Amino acid sequence: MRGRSTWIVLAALFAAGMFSLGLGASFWRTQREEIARLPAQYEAQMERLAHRYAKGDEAGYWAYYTASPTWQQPHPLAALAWGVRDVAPLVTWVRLLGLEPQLYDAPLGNPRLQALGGFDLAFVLGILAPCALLLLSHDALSRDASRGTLPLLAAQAGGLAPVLAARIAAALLLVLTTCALLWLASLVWSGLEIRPALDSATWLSSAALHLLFWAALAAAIASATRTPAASLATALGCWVFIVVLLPALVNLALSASFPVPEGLELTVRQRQAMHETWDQPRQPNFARFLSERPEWPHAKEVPEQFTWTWYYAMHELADRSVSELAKSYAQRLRERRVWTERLSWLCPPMLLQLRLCAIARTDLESHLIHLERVRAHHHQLKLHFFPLIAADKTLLPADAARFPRFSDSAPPSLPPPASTPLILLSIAALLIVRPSRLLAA
Amino acid sequence: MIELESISIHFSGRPVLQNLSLQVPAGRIFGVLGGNGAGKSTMLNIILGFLKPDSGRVRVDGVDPGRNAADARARIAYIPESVALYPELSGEENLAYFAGIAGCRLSAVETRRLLNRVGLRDADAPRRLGQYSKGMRQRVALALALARQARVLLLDEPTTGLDPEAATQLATLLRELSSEGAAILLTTHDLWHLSLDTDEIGILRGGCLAAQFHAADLSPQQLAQAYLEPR
Amino acid sequence: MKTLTWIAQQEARLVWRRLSTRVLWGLFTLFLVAAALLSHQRQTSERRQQRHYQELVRREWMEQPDRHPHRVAHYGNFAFKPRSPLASFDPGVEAQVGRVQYLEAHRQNAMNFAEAGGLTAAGRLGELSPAFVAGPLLALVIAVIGHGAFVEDRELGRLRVLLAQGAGRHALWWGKAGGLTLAITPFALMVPVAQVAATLLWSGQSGLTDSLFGSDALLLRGCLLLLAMLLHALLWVLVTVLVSSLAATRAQSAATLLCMWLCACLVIPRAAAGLASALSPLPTRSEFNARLASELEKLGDSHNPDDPAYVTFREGLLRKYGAVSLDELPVNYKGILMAKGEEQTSQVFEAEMSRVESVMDRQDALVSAVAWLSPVLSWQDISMRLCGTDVIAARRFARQAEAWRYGFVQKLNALQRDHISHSQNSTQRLDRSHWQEFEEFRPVAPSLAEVLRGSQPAWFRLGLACVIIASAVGLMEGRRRTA
Repeated sequence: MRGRSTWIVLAALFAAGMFSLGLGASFWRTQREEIARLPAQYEAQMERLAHRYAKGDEAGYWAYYTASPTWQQPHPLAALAWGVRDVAPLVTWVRLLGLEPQLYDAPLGNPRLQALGGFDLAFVLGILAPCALLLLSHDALSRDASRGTLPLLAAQAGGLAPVLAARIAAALLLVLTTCALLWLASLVWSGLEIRPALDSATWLSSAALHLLFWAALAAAIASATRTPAASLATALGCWVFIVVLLPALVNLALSASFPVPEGLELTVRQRQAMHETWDQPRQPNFARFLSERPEWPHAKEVPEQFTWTWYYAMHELADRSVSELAKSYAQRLRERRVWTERLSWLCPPMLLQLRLCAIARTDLESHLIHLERVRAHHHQLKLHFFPLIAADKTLLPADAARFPRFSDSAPPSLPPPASTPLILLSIAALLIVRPSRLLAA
Repeated sequence: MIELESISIHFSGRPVLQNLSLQVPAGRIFGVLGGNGAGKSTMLNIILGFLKPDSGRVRVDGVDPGRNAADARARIAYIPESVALYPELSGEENLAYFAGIAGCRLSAVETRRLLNRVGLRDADAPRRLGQYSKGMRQRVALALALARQARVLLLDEPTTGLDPEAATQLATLLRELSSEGAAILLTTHDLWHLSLDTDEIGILRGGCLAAQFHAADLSPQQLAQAYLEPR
Repeated sequence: MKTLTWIAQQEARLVWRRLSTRVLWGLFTLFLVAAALLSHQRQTSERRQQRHYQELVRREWMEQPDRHPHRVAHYGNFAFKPRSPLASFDPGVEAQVGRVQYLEAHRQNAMNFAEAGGLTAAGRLGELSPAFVAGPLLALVIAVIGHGAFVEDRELGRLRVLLAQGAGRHALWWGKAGGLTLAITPFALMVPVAQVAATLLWSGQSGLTDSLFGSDALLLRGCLLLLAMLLHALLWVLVTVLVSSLAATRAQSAATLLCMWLCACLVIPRAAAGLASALSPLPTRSEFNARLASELEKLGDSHNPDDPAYVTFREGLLRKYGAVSLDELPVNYKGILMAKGEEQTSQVFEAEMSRVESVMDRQDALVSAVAWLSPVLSWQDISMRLCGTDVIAARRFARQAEAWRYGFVQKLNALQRDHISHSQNSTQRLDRSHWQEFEEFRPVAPSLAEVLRGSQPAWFRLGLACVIIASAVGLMEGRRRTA
């Protein structure tokens, strides 16, 4: 493909990229703004409480009505690879009550849009860029083979290999340049910080490595087909198979073979445990609570009427009853992730998607880590409130300033899945390149 | 059977055919000799009704293809240079398909009979056309002409790419068809076969018939001289 | 007409002569069978799980000991989103909508454990489903098989020969289109075959009977799905032959068709989703909750009988019964107050939720508008609705769950009002036999008539697109004279 059509393909790729950057910038801004609003929302809530309990009230009431926000500060690269961000919540509000029912709420979203999928730069680089590369390079040799100029060309250049290499490299360079331009545009336009320079470099080099695989595949296809129509059909057939069908099949197989029944079980069990304790004799249960809370020996006895100590102890006991399930829920999801990673070795676009999202901290693992940090924060709340509640303290609005707040640490840094499979697959594709076959009539 | 009278046609201002007149009566074979760009394909397109001349009169078996293309085409069997048929289908299937489009449904027996008639053996009939030589494909096309009982045959470069044996057999077949009353018009660069296998020869140059001879009056050498002379 | 059918027959035969068609059919069937089996297995096991927990929850509800009615209101209940039996054909938005909702007094909780929440980043590349095979993949097959329909004849010089036989341009065009339609029939027919086979295979094992749809409606829905699939395929056939008749070379035709497919299946749907959420953004959960909290703050606390917000309400009630103090009332004031509070909070929630839903409606409207550009979106719309896995069904479920929640909470408040004395409100329990009177939650999916009414625009879009192309062909081929 030469001349005008080359520029049309590249312009379309660039336009798609710019569109994704626009959406990504607005997506990222929304998330940043949401997090930026959290302190004000928290303050507004505390003000309402201060108004309601102006003369002070039991610590238990304060704890009951205080919800404190926890969040994941989005990595700048999250604007370019949204990952699971639209289906896994960014912000979780926690109260001192049982934690488990508070963890798994779906974010407010339109399921129809979520099902259609996101249009982020990772999509453009991982799905559309290979297509552009194939469109530019599939007929590297067949355009001459069909015109009969191939022997002449081979005679001029001293074999077909240099011709093929030069043409594929030119196509690759054009597509890579477009991607690099998009990258620069993303830096300028959305005002991204280049600060995580290492992350940025890894991100961009993963995308480049992925294109290298497709270039190797394009070389293999170009050297195996004689007419432009055949090389186009083969190239796009490979593309559809690798980019659309294979991931879709792998995903279906994984979700069919790793069901996660823990979700339902956890919800149902937590509630039952929580409410059963109301109707049971209190003392043995309370002893059970204290067995893991040695810090409050003074709260040994629990009266038969309502006390906050007992109320929160019950919540914690309910959490404890499903803690194994919660662990195995996360475990199941991690298993699924491990298998996705393994199978992605055979499917470069999946691997790229995993890598890009891991670097941008928008993959499942980052979300699971976020959940762990929410747990830690909930624990902080307990450490703060339990002694006050056990001692039956009355809190004044001024005390609210000392309530624990979620501390926003840097997003977790995780090693992304290795890119060696990409290199191996590229080499494998290069091994089947035999342009000289085309000269044999 | 084929009558062209003072045909002129222009493509974007450039004259391609100017005042071209020729006649091929029934039972005659007319060969048109011309270099590349002389207007041979345009002439065929006008006869087939794919193009309408700017001026002049065209009749195919008395029908004006410019007005009534379908009726004219029903009287014509056209065999292009590449003899483009379907390589996925066998010889007999191709014959049946194209004849079917022309409106005559052939039985298996008729198909075989027609193919035998043009010299294709029973063993070749069920083979895929992709494995045929050009000569064999031409025979399928001629069988099609027979099937449709076409009064007029148009052949574009029939001898190009044929080995001498196949070319001779083709000439024999064409001669048989013309003796049965068909008017045959063929275009070619091939001086040798032209002078041997045709009745009339026209030299197309600059969009009009520069010269016309009886084939019997000229040897191939004289024809070559006549063709090359003016340069 | 005779020529047309002859061409169509022969064209279809020609297509199936090619080895590539047969290989393609094999691959298509392989993917279809894999999708049908895996999808069925998954849906069946999830349904079985869900049924198990549904029964467990029901049993636990019935076996509750003597309790104070308001305790029971906080014990609450669960609404499980029923899986439609056709979800294995098109899971639609099932993975994005949560599976279970906890229902309790005073609050409207979110759906939990959406399957998509547990997906890896690569999982968001999409999942294979029979609906995907029947829609986008079949369209791809049509483009691959049919891209040469006209242009190959032209490139090889056969078109002149075909026309020289006296075939009219219209007959040739429609013959080609008919031939392509016939040629893809063996592909299309595998879809219902695979679906029925998978259903028989798995339903034999699970022994599930489905209350959601009557079995005859199921059959009718299946037939309508088949019809929609064929209409969508027909549109692609027309597009393919049209492109093929306009293209200069086979490679050009193939590139054009595949780019169209890429846009229709991957780019436009995602772009529409991105655009819709950028143009009409939804509030985040935090914003929503914050608004809700500030609205609720205005109401007062219905747990607190002395809340100043309810003083006039209390006075009015005392006047109505002619009583001086709350203890003199023949009914339990706390129960009445609770009922009043529930009524108010659920009104507030309803108002907030309908604001959110109106934003979602705007987003959906944009996607529908974009569906004019991508027939795949129209196909998805029809198939999701027929399978009962669309957003409308999900929203209807949520509304029914809320209505049911409101119903049982108010019933419990009534029990408190009538059976619990005001003075002993904190210690008195209600006999467990009362819990037996509560009915199980039985959500009703949109009926077939509603589904058809809702999917009218999508049917219209597909049908009109076919008509437009057909008439364009009529005009174009009528005018053209040369080969």
